[in-house]
Amino acid sequence: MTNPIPFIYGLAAIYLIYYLANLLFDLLTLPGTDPKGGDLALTVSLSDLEEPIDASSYLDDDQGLSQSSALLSSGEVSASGGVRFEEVLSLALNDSIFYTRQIPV
Amino acid sequence: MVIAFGNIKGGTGKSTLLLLLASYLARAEKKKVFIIEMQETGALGLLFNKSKLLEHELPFEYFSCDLSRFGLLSSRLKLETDCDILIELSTSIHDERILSVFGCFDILICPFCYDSPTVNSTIYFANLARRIRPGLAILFLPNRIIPTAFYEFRAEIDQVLRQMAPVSTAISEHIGFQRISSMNLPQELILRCEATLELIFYQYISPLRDNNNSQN
Repeated sequence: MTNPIPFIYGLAAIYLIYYLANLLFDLLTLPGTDPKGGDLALTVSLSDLEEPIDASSYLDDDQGLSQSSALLSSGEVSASGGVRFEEVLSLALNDSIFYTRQIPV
Repeated sequence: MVIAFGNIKGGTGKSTLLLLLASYLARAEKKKVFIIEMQETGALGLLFNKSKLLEHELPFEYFSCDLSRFGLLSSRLKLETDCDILIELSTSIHDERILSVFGCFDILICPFCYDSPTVNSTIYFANLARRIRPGLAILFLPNRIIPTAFYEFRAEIDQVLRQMAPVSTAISEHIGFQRISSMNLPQELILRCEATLELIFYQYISPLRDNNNSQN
């Protein structure tokens, strides 16, 4: 029967080397920089937060958000043009009086 | 093309004349015809139910529709090509939603008789239509005219109506109108009215249709 202790020690040593290698890699690379050259640091200026945020600047490509005019249309005009419906009825009644008075009784 | 029949006075013959015109358009003009009734518990609904029971093969399709669903039905039917839609308007006009209905038809036919209450109602209805939609094509259609009877002030009434819209050839009274019991109209009644309907069609409706087609 083999002794498992040397095997466990060996496994722990390999893991320790792997861990230290990772640690060194992180420490050696400059903090806040992407290895590809990009800036990963998130800097928030408090003065920026006081200004209103312009949402349009975040929509570089709004093609996906655009809808056809048919979907946005409110349909055929079905209003009385600023005149209340009761007034339309009243105006029609006045008009009809103008015509009916021409018919002899 | 969308043709509406309307008058706030009941009993002027809207349903009968609409059925006659629908039959004429389907038979003589070979058109696909849809009938929309906006009158709740109207005469057309009763006639349709009778036709359904008797399994008549009608030359048109019938729909009953209230104001809340009219927009949907109208826009659906307008997708059909080369069809005529005939609408019977409700006699009740005190609902603001009627405005959208007035915006969708090409001509308004107002059947009327020469008795005083009907003439007054017809004039009011025509003026309301003109107020809602200025420039709307309106046609006054004298109905139930007894050829041998004398109608007092008929010439004066026609003269007043013509200040608003044309007055067409009259539809004569016939006993056959009283005997309509389903949407399947008697052949003799259709033939009797065919000449008048043809005249009305070619004089008032066909020019509008040509005008619409040229605009499209």
